[in-house]
Amino acid sequence: MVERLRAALADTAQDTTERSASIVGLQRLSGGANMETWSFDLVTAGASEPLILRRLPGAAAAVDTTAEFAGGELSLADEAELITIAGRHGVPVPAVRLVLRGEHALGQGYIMSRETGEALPFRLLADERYRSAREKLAFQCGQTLGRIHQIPLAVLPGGLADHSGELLFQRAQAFLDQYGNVSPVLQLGLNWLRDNPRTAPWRTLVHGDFRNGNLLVDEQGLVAVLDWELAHLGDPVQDLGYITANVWRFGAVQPVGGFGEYADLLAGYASVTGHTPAMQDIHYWQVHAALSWGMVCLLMLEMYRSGRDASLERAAVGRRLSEAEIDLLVLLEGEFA
Amino acid sequence: MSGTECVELLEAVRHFLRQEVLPELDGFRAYNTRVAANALGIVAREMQLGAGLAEMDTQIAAMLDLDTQAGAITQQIALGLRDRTLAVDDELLTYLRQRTLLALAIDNPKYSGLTQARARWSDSHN
Repeated sequence: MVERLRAALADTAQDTTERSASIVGLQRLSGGANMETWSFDLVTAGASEPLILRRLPGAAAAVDTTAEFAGGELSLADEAELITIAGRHGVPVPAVRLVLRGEHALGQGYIMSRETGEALPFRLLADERYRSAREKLAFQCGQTLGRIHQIPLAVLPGGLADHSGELLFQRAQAFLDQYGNVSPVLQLGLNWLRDNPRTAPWRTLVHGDFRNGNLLVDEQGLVAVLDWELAHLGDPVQDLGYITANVWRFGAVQPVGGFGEYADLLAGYASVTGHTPAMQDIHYWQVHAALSWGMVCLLMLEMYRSGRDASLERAAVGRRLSEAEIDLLVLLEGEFA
Repeated sequence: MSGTECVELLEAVRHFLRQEVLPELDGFRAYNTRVAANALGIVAREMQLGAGLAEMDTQIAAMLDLDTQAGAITQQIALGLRDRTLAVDDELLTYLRQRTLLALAIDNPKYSGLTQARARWSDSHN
């Protein structure tokens, strides 16, 4: 793999020094059963470039585990294109270095810059060194979401799924049916979403997984938005409900990712878009975020049971369904009176 | 009585994993060892509290006139909600809340949502 990686990057090199670069410190970071994320440095005589490889090796199904239910069947090439487009529109993202092609023999995927920062939620929320970053992070999240939602639809990759309107809920119902209708509370949440549609939703690019844990942060604040594989077209307020969902506060009190207040998130959003979404609409998408977390738990359980990924972690996440259920019941209190 | 209770064995293994194995590990294996110890805690709590879930299901089945032989009560309720044959009334909501509170007390008693929910619902019902 080191040699194929070196050859793929040598292809793009500007001069002979770069062409003789070597791959150092290659290690697998994380990822599901199919998707792989690798970290390595490209070292030449004068410099060392920190990089990340995301790939689906061989003939693996081109669907990530979490992308499956969300309908985010974005190919890795489209994901790379989307990151590049987002960067051009002022969204902090890693720089895409190379999109893999057939002759690279590394499967589908792309190579991007490895930015420096912290993405682990508990460190971000607890560590003293991120204190001042935490104070501005909610505003920065609002600004960044505003920029994502303002990218013109015409410049986006063609492979983005459209989840606007009823489509999202039809897919969710099909998912609950497929996984055995085990949870009355998830069904109650889905019914409520369908019975109370938003009156005038817009349609924009939606990141789909914009939360504490997918945000790379340093002492100065937001460095890069990661994990674009669930991106789709839909209602932009979905992203604001998601970043404020209880499950992604990691036990902390503050509503925006556990680190910030609604007022700062909305001020950041309005500073870019001139628009302040209503709290009622954010609540609506918090219900959806809780339902989505419940569906991820069901998906993990199925992956464990089917043997597709019979790991301890999958089995354990399958038991977190009751977290999603309690969040739904708290959010929906008073909605059925 | 046949010597050490299951719950005591689970607690002993959990203690062993946390106090003796975990300090020897780092990275992904340390993380997995924490997950493993946690999973044993869930099993121990379910052995102590799990019967309560079945009792709640039996009670709601009687109230809603569901057939306890016709599959899991939770699934019958989920299908009734999907097909809109079941009314979302106080009785049903109380059952869903109390059942979820107990399930979460087994699965993850430290979850922030549990404290919030208990504060809301524990006084008015049960």
